[in-house]
Amino acid sequence: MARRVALPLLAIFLITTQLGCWDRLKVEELGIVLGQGIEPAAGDKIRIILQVVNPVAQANGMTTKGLPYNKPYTNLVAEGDTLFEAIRKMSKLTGKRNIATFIQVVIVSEDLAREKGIRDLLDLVDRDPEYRRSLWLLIGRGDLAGLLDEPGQLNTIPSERIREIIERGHQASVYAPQRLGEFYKLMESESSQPFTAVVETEPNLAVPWEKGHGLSDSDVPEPLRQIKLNGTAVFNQDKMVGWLNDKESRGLLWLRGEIREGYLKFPSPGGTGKLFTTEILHSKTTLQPEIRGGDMHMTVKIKAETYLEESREPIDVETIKRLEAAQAVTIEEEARAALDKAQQEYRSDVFGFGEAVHRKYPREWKEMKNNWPEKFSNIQVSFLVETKIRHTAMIASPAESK
Amino acid sequence: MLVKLLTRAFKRKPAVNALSKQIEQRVYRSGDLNRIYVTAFLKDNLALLKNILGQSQDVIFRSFRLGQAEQAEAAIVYIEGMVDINVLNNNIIRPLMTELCHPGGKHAAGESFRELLTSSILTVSNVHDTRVMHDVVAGILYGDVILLINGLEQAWVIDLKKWNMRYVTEPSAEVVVRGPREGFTETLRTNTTLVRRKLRSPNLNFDFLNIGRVTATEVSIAYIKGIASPDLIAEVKNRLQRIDTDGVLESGYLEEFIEDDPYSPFPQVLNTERPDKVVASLLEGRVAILTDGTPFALIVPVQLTAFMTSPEDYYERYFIGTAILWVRYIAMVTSLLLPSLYIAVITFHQEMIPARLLISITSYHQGVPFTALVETLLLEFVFEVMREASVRLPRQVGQTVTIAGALVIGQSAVMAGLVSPLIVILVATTGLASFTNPSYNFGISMRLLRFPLMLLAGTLGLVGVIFGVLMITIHLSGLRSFGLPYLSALAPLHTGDLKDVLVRSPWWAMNYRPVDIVRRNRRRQAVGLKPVQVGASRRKEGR
Repeated sequence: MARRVALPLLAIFLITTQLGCWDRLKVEELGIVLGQGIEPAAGDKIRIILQVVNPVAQANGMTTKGLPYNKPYTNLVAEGDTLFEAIRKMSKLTGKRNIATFIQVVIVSEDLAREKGIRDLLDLVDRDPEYRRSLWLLIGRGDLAGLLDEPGQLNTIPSERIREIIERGHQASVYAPQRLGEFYKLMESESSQPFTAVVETEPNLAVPWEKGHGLSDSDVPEPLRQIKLNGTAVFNQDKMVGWLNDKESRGLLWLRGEIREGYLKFPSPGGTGKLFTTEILHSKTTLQPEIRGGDMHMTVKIKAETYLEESREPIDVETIKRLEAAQAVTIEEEARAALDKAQQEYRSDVFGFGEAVHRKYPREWKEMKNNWPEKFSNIQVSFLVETKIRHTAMIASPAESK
Repeated sequence: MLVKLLTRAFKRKPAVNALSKQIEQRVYRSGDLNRIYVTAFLKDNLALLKNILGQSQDVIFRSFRLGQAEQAEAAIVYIEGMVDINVLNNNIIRPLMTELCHPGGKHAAGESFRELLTSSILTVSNVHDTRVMHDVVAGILYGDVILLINGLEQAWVIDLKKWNMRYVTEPSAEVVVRGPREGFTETLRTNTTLVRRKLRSPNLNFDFLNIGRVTATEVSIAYIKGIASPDLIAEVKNRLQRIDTDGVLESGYLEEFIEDDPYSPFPQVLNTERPDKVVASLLEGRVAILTDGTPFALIVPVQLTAFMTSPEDYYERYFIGTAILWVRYIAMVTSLLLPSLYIAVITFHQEMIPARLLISITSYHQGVPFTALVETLLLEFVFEVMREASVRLPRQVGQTVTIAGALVIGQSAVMAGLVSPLIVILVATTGLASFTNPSYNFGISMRLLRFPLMLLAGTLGLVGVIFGVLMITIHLSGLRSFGLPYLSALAPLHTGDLKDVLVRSPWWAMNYRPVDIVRRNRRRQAVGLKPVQVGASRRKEGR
């Protein structure tokens, strides 16, 4: 009986006294990294920027007044030949242990993505368990140090702001961001090509430029520049090969069936040139490949349901029918725009056509996959777009003045 | 050298003088008294009693003569303050001194007188005679009045117990919103009455035994014949009879002598001040042990979930009872695990915390000089000190603890940067959670167990916490209370008994007694007691 008690007690005693706390990490010694930027540096080196949270400035309810420095983040910069080398060189600058677990965005500069390729560059990100598969992998245009230091309206952390923008991205559906895991899945697949959104800064139009101000950034109610997600970068294997603008990005999303919400703008079917806008409720895309006498055909079926948001002409049941048709034409236009770019210019199957073919013709695919980029460029695509306007919201016809 | 001196100092006998020798000679043991009998000579009897008790000033010896005529001498012995003086004067002494003077009532001290005495003179209900001196002494000590008559080789033990006692009040440690407000008192008789009043069954049995060489504390084993298993009753009696100690002041003494695993941190005997809880347990086939001198009754056997239920669960409507039961379960797990989980996650597994939460935790930890483990241990200790202080403090200064606790610990410690405000919230939550347990002692075990868990968490992280939880689970699985598995209904799974564990099922569905406690006579009510909806039955009639 005594042994039954003594043994666990001895075990606990030994564990608590002999093991120490070798893996312990005090929270206050943590550097919580929220964003990571990678851009080229002089002499074929790479420069990385780590955005580390400054927790004191983040404390809610704690007063930070009187502190000389209450920026919510610190950007650390280091250069090296490899990613890990550069990251570990940061320890020359900070006393904190930076952990990558909470990184929300990894931004690779466009130049590096075009020249070096993601595979070589980001092997660490793929390998190291600290990096989550759910972080957003983005392509950055211009100076990344500047991008990651854009003061936000509410003094938020730029990396967080980018993540928040992406999470609301489906409201417009005009760019196509990818999570790290998804990106790698597409990259490693032989039947599709990766893509992801592009992030950049642009002058903030909300600032009254004509007046000008001699104030510093932190005092200005509106920052001079702002962060913007702009279009989609298209890859071939691991190298970036091109860029899709808003309309083409939308087309990419139509073809991949990834539209959740968004607007549709189209001219009046009556030929008056007046514009209508609808909001997409939900949509569904099916790819139907078919081999007709050695040629590959692809039928893209898109079903979309929308409702009317803006109208400049009176509405009745007949008009709705015509609007639905006009809407379908617009969707097809958008999809065609993306298709043309990918097929002719970039020769990159970002739509997953290869996957659809593989699924339907597994035997033929074995031969086709070797020269798939060639085949992909020559696929005949036809569209079958069905749309439905579910309702006209609060009113039917626009208000009329009598 | 020093050791020798010390041992000599302790071995030294106390100085012997005449008085101490005298005192030593008068020590009687119950074994000796069992062999001494009442003699026919009053003087000898009184001398012996004086020798046994007489040194004590509260023992009253009252000698008188029977009847007005000078007849046989008699004496009454009792302890002052333990008997009903009015009844003694009017119903014992007066008839003995006056009524025997009637012409027809002149009797010699013989056989017929003996019968006359109990049949028409002593006008009290509970009288019996004895010859053994042990019974005489025991009777005096328990508030009986002893009547001795010269020439008769026996003593009459007259039950006139009456002393000042606490009234039946609401138990302060087990409060309910809905339910009876009465609680046990320090007097065993009152307590048995309280139980009997709720349980008007001829099968309710109280078995008495005296435990304690010196205190001879009366202990009563209560059970319902036909429900409680005879094996269980025998086992309880065996374990109680085994006890040979000099004093039993509280049922806690007994608890430690009869429990199954003396090294377990978990209580294996339930204690309660509430008669309704005792009666409910008896109806489930358990056995209650009532001890004289304490309002706390013991209930055996018990399983873990019995500590988690309050009588109120069964008085409120069933879904309220179920909800409250679950609040308590969650609070129990919280009080055991919350601090250790926090420490483990904060020191080893930061990646498990959502980013926003981690940032705010980090911001609160800035400038705090201690690790999370030290911080938590520190505050937990302070909390335990406050809890203990608020129990011990005189009522008048109770306010001080509240103010000191709230201001000094809650605010100043945070402002001084000694602890992070999150830890204060954590410790307060944990403390409150542990008090939701209806059994005070079970709550304390849970609170104490979390300290080793916190150490494990601070050194080994979640691995340590899981290790600790596994150890506790293994221990609980092997623990038994009077043969009943401690995790009964869960660990030897009895799906039928989950009606008291996972949910508090409605009364009309509680058809059976717990299977591990009673094997036979399990049905406790008729079938089909579920209320029938009036509307539904009318519709049936319509067809």
